[in-house]
Amino acid sequence: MNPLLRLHEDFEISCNVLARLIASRREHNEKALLFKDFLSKSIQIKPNRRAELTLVALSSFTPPDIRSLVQQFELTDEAPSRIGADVAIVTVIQAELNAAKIAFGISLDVFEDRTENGLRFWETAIRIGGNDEEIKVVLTMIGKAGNVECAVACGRVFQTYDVGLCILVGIAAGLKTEVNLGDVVVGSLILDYEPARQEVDGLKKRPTPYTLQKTIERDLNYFNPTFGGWYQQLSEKMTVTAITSPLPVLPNDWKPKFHKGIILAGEKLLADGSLPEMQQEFHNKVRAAEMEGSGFAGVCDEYAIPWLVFRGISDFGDPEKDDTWQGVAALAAATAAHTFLKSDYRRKPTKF
Amino acid sequence: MKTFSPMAFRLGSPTSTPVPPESEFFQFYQYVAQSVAGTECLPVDDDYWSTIPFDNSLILDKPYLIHQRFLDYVGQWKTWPNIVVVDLTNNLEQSIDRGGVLINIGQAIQYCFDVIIKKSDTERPVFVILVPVLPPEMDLIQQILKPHFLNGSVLMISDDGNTISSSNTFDAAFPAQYRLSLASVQKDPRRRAKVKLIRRLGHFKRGGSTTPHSGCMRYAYDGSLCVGELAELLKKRIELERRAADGSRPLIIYYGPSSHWLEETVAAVGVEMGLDYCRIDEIRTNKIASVLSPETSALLVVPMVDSGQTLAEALIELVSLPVPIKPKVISILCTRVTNPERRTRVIKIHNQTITLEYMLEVAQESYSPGDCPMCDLNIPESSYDHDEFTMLTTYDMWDMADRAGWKAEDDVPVNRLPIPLVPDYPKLIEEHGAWLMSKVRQRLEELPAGFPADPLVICPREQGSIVFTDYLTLVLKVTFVRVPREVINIAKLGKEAIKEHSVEWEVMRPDWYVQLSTVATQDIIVMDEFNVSGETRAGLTTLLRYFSISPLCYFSFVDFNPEQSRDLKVSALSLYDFQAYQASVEPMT
Repeated sequence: MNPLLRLHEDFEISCNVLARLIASRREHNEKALLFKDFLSKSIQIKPNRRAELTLVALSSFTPPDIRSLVQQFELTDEAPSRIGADVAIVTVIQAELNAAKIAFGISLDVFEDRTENGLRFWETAIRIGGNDEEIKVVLTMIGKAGNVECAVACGRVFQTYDVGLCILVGIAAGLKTEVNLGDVVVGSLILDYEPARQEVDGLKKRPTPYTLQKTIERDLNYFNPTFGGWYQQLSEKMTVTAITSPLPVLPNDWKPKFHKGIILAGEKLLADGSLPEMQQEFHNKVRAAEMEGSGFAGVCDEYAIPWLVFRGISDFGDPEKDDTWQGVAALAAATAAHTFLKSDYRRKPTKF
Repeated sequence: MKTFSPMAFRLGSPTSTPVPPESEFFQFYQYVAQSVAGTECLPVDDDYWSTIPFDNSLILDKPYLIHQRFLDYVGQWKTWPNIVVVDLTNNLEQSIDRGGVLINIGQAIQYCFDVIIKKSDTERPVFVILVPVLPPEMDLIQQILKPHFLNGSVLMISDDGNTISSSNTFDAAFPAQYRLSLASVQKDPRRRAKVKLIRRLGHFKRGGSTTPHSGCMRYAYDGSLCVGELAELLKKRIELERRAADGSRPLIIYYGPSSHWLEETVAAVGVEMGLDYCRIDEIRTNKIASVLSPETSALLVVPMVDSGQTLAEALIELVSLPVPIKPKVISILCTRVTNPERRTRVIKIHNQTITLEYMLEVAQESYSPGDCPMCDLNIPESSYDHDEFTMLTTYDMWDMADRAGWKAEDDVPVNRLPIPLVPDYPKLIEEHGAWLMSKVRQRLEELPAGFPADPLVICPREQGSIVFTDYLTLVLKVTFVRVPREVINIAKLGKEAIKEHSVEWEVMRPDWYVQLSTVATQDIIVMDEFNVSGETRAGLTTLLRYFSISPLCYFSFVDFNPEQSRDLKVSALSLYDFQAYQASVEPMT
């Protein structure tokens, strides 16, 4: 298959053509059919442009004596318009951004498509649902670890893009008894373990859970990375990753596993081996811990944007922790997210 | 059921060859007979069929012998068939005068009616005469056969599917289907190439590779589906050249910056004929550079000549060589031809008049700068080299539909409102067949396992789908099963209804039933010209399940209900989609 082939042209071009064709036709049934086509595609374009083109199309249905009045109608746009994107992929560090670029087919040396609000964005498109639908995906890196930093940066992302789903992709510490290095954990729930109440008799923990939106949870329940071609993609992309970060020594039969579980999020970089205790303390389904999930999930909920967190296990949060597995773990997480989108994500109605 | 017999004249052929019932030609004649009869036709029993040869010298000197040969042939028949298919179209040479031949055939048919058939007290058969082009109304043959045309006992069909017929025997899709059926049996590479040549629609900018654009064009041509046919034509042309030049071995130089198929064509010819060939930009570095001389016999092959800009670039390159070459020019495709009989075009390039030869004449639609409707709509420039989208663009889809014409939707099921208008799909598909089929292939390549290894297309036996699948067969070599609408309607009622009718089908053994009972592939594609409510594909899927088969994917040319298609468990592909489906406001009965 020719890699330069895209599924369809930009919807804005389609809608522009349709609006002008509607305006140029006289026969009612032709206009009606063209208008159905226009309606079907215009939900995919920016609201201002949609309003402008709808006016062009609809004015042709009005009686000739008032048509010019309708055409002169000015559409005001007080709020700055945001750019439509189906999915935003948020990464924290360079290794994660590189992995996401590799997984989503963006050249590592290509300049960003946009710089807004202090963040750089790379845009691409992927086919989903058996290749029959194309979605726009935007990638960015927030640059600094931490829940607050992540929340602030994601807020900026949402001021720039109106997205249908946001995915945090990166690395995390894993629970040694449950996961291996390079495995991927997708958060069925993010548990912020930091909140607590300081009482006279000590600190009372008040962990805050962030749950997935039902529609995206359902999509996730359908996801089987093996059927979706995750391993194949991961092995194909591994060579490119080797250019960006050193690979650990991998056995020939290395095959990461995919887990659904609870991810702990806090402000601490765990390196003391306390994760098993935290599992005991908070929930037996805890599989990983990191430092951005709760800030990320909180801001997504604030903007009513469905979210997911994909984490590749790069260490066990113990004293032996090092960076050897970062590249591979980040790639495993990014390719898993890519595979999920391709095979089981179903686009929800866009609400620009 | 009716009977038929073919009379396969082969003008320009010195000897006869058998036409066995399993041959493509025989099946083509059967298809023609069935189209005329409107029912199944079988050959008359106990007959042996062969071609009726008639060499060129006889055609020129003694065309009246055709009359005798005709009567000799029918004189061997023990039984007269209901339909006689007289084939005058599949001949070795196309340029010989046919006037005398046709008149003699007409007189022979007249004699059959007036004497032989009258005497034998046989039911009057229908003669179907297949000719390359229909004779003008005032032509003698029309006068001879006029009474028979009027009473329906003689029909004439031309290569383009047009007919002289007193009744509306043929449905609207017949011309398209006939053309495709004829092309699939004919060995003439030019005709086959014409059908398989891809004409891509787009917004193309005119201009050489080194000059700024000077207007827009609607079409880009791509010969990648007919490389074999083009190579055959080029080979024949070079053989002529070699014969004329006493066996000289011309050097083939080719130039087509955006036509990868040209390279394949030239390479195929070069390798087969043992000739040197070279791309123009490599000529200075190629080993042949050392043996070039002003006397070198060379052919410059270009993919297409329209405005002549590309050709001019090539000629400049050749005259600027250390040893300038003045080649003969052959263009695979050409517009604005000067002499269609000789297939030449005279063109002025850099104040020099050049006569070039071409293989196929093609059309181009050009717009001068400031006059292009696509520029007015801000449609981006299209790439010459390849399609950019697997699905059709909005402008291309609606433009094709407009040109094919619109009609009200026929046979609207009770469960939904009609689509206000639908394009004339058979016409649309026939007009853009090769391109659309290449897009069907692109879409099928997107399936998780790639293009199916052994695709079998299941479709309704309806006009649009028939033309669609005919093209698929010719271009992509897929096989198909055409299921009658009444069977699909039964299947829609469910498994029990199918079971009930299966006893009857088992006895009758219709084609589709036999084919579905013996399916040996899993690459089943359920195809329809367009999808609205999904009822047809649901019916076909139920039918397939009865035979323990599951579809690999659904494919419709236009999907008017993509929302439903996205929710299916099986991939549903189309070339264009938008949500136009609306359930009926009336309660279903």
